Amino acid sequence: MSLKINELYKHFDLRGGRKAVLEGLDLQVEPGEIFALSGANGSGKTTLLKIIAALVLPTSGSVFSGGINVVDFPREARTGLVCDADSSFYRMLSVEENIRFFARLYGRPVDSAEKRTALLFDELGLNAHRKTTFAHLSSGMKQRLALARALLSEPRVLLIDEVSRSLDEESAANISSYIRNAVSKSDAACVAVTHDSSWAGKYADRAGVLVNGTIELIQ
Amino acid sequence: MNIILAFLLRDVSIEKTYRFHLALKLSGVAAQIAVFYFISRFLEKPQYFLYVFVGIMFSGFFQFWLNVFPENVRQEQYWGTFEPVFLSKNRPLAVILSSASGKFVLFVMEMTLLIAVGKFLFGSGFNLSLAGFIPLFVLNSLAVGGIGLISGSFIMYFKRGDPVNWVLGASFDLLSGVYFPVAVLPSILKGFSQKLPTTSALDLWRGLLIEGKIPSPHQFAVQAAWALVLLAAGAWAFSAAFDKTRVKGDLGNY
Repeated sequence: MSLKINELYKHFDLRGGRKAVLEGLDLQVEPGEIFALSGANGSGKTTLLKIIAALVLPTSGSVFSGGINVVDFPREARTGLVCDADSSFYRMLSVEENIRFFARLYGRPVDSAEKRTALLFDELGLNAHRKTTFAHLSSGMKQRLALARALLSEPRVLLIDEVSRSLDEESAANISSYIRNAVSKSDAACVAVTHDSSWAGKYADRAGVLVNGTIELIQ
Repeated sequence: MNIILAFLLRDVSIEKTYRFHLALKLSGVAAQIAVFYFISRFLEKPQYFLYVFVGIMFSGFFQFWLNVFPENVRQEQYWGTFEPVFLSKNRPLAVILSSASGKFVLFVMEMTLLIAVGKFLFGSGFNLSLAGFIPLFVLNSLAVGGIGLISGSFIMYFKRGDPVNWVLGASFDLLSGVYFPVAVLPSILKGFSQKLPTTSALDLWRGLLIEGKIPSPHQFAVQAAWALVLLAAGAWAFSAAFDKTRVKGDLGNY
């Protein structure tokens, strides 16, 4: 399913006045495509991802996924978000308990959830850590778990916020290759935020920079 | 059902992790029961104690529903899981309502224990007709749960400082007749107290558990109306606060 963003504006009302973050942003990402997005700190990259995930409301504009405007939290929309992997799980629960909770919450029937989890854990090398408490996982494993959660519901749109952050070179390459293959095999449209310009060249189909609230495409 | 089961099993796993906390909680209930037992032996007027016992049961019920949603919102925000739970295909209201399922089961166990203690302490003086109590319990849960949803909405938007919880938490025991009949209040407070849904609900609990009086269809209808109004108000407040918090862009902050 393609992701289509039209005339997206986001302004925040702050104590010092109004801050414009997105200023009429347009973007289209096709199924199976990875769009790498970079930009300075505070340029609105994470805000954009959260608007697509319907966790932040835009000031105006639309975000369509497979013909559905996702900003209104429609039940049909399926978005996988990999963001804040370090702190978006139950720290006191094991890897298995965490993923089972989210699988049930995301509405997967038990049998298919178990099969999907087994497949993702196998592919992402999480099997040996099933019983490990989340708090005791390494940063790399936390990223893998966040990716497994995002892929659980076979999303139409996959959003990734700095997947290689705090990972060593080998782990970053492994997880990035996995994302590349997973997106190519599925019909998901993927937006990946990265500060690493070489990442876009290796793993993305297209790339852009968020500047002054709009995306400037990198040729 | 999947979503309710998800939160229920998650809470069981969390409680298993914090076994010491669970043990302390259970000892707290045991200590409360011991206090009730000794008061019942000490007091010459067991009827008053029975009156207060039902009042305290209802107070626990009220505090549970008033606090469960704001506590859950705050806890999920603190853990960093508040945003991921809304990435499901379920409606946000269904997510927040289901998040209470684990704590609700524990609370029902606590209530069952207190009812058993009531029966042990007061014998035939403590009546329990399940046919009357269950519908009353459900209707009152919906009503007070609606107030709890409003309280949770404040926490979601303002993060700290919830006027609903502050006002109701402090004034409930005074105005709803937990320890004394509201008839003894000064007339200005009495008039206000008698209009509160909690006062009429507690009267029905006492009538049912002490005198064995099953509420009339009219009394059930009044409780159902409160349930409908307060639950609708809670649902509206939650949806409004959810959208306003998404506009601010700080759903996951605390």
